[in-house]
Amino acid sequence: MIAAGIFILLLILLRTMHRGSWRLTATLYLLSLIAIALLFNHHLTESLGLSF
Amino acid sequence: MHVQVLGIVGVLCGALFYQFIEGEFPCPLCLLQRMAMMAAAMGPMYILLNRQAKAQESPARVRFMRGYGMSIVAAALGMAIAARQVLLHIMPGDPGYGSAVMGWHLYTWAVVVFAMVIIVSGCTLFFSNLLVPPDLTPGRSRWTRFTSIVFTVVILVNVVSTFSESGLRLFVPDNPTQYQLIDEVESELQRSK
Repeated sequence: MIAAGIFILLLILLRTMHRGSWRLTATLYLLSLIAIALLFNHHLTESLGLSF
Repeated sequence: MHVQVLGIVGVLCGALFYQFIEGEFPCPLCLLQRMAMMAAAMGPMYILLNRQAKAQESPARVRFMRGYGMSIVAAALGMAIAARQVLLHIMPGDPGYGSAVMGWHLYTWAVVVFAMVIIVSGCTLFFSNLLVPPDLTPGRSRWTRFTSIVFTVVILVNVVSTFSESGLRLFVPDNPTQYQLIDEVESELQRSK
C-alpha cells in the first residue's frame, strides 16, 4: 500500500505541474523523493532487523 | 525533452510488458526503480508543461535548470536503488531476479538508464546557452498533451498493479508470487458463499 501511495503522490505531482505553481511542485517533488528514499531504507535495513 | 520523457516512459512500458505479458511480478526494489524513473521524467515534463510565457513567474532559463536538476537528483537515487539490486545478485551462480533482456537483467539495464539520464541532463545543462527552449504562446502543443497523457496512464497502471500486488499489506513481499488483492477478494468471496 505504501508503494501504491508513492505512485499516487507522483500522479498528484504531475497534475500539479499542469497548474504551474513551482512551490507546490517543488514541495511534492521533495516529498516523493523522501518517501522513495525512506522505503528504500526500509528494504535496506529490514534483513538486518533494524527497520522502522 | 519529449524524447527524454517518452524514452523513460518506453522503459517503464517495457517493465509493464514483462509484468503482464511474461507474468513476472515486480519486487519491491523494482517498484522503487520505477518510482525513481518517473521522478526523473518529471524534470523534462515540468519544462514542457510550463512553457507558456504569461503564466510564469520565472524566466525560461530558470525553469530549464530546475527541470534538469530534478532529473539528476532522482536519477542518482534510482541508480543507488538499482545498484543495490545488482549487488544482491552479484555472487557467481546466482540466477538473479526475473528474466534477462539481451543478457542483462532489468535492474542492470536500470543502472544504465539512470546513468544515461544523469549524463544527458548534465550535458544539456552544460550546453544550456544553446538549448533553452523559447517561451511559447499560451496553450500547450499537441505533443506535450500526448506525452502528458501517456505518462499519466503509465503511472495509473502502476498504481493499480502495485495495489493489486500488495493488497492490504503495508509492504510488497520480497518475492511476490501472486496479486495479493485479487487473492484476498477471491478468498473473501468463497467465504461468503
